Amino acid sequence: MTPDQIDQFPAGPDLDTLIAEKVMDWRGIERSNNVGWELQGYPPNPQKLHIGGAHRVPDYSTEIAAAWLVVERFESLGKRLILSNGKVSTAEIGWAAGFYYVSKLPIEHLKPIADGFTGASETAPLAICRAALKAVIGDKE
Amino acid sequence: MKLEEIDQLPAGPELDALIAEKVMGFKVTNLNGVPYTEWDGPDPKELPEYSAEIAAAWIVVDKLHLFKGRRSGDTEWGLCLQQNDRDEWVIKHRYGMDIVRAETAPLAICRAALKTVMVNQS
Repeated sequence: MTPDQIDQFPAGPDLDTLIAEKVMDWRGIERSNNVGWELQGYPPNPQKLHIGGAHRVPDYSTEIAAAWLVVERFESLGKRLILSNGKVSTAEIGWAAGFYYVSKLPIEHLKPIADGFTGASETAPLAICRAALKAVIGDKE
Repeated sequence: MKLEEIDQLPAGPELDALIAEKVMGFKVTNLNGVPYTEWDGPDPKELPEYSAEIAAAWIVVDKLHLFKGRRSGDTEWGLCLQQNDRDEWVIKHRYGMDIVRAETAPLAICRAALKTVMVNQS
């Protein structure tokens, strides 16, 4: 998947499943009723919503509380979030997000801060998800 | 309340009540030391944990959109939230000026919201 394709990825179950697999390290996800489920859900993981023997993929791309799990995942890997609203390009107004290693991008030097952004969207959860996918792709290159 | 005092407000029910009153426009009632917003049927509604839960704090962010940003001629306003190398959450004005720092994102959002309301009222 290219960065341009990520920029066009809409919010919804497809993106949520992709985030679960590529970012959150979920395994064996299958789709049922348009929702992703990690079927090997035993033992129940308190970090995951557990329903009937399976874990439901959170609504990462639409719910800020779920998107924050992605932020916390990157935090555990040493990457920090930058998130801004307002003008994210000359044409749009929305949200922009990026993940960065603090050692590589000192906060006091973020001016203009737009340099740190990699994901943009109308909503903060979607911007976080797009930035997360790009960060994962970038780390694997 | 002075702007500097907002920087010292801890997360918890007192700050949640302040946010409910000053930012969200709710009437807050104390019952046995617990703050509630308006009545919802026979029972008072418990306050959202604005200063502790990101989903509740995001309601405050959305509320801030109502009186700043997205209006014609006001598109440059922007909140920038980021974590620094000391694991503080910092909210900056889009062009670099620090507004608040806090140990969690919800707390930073609440402090920034209070400051925004106070500056708008002054």
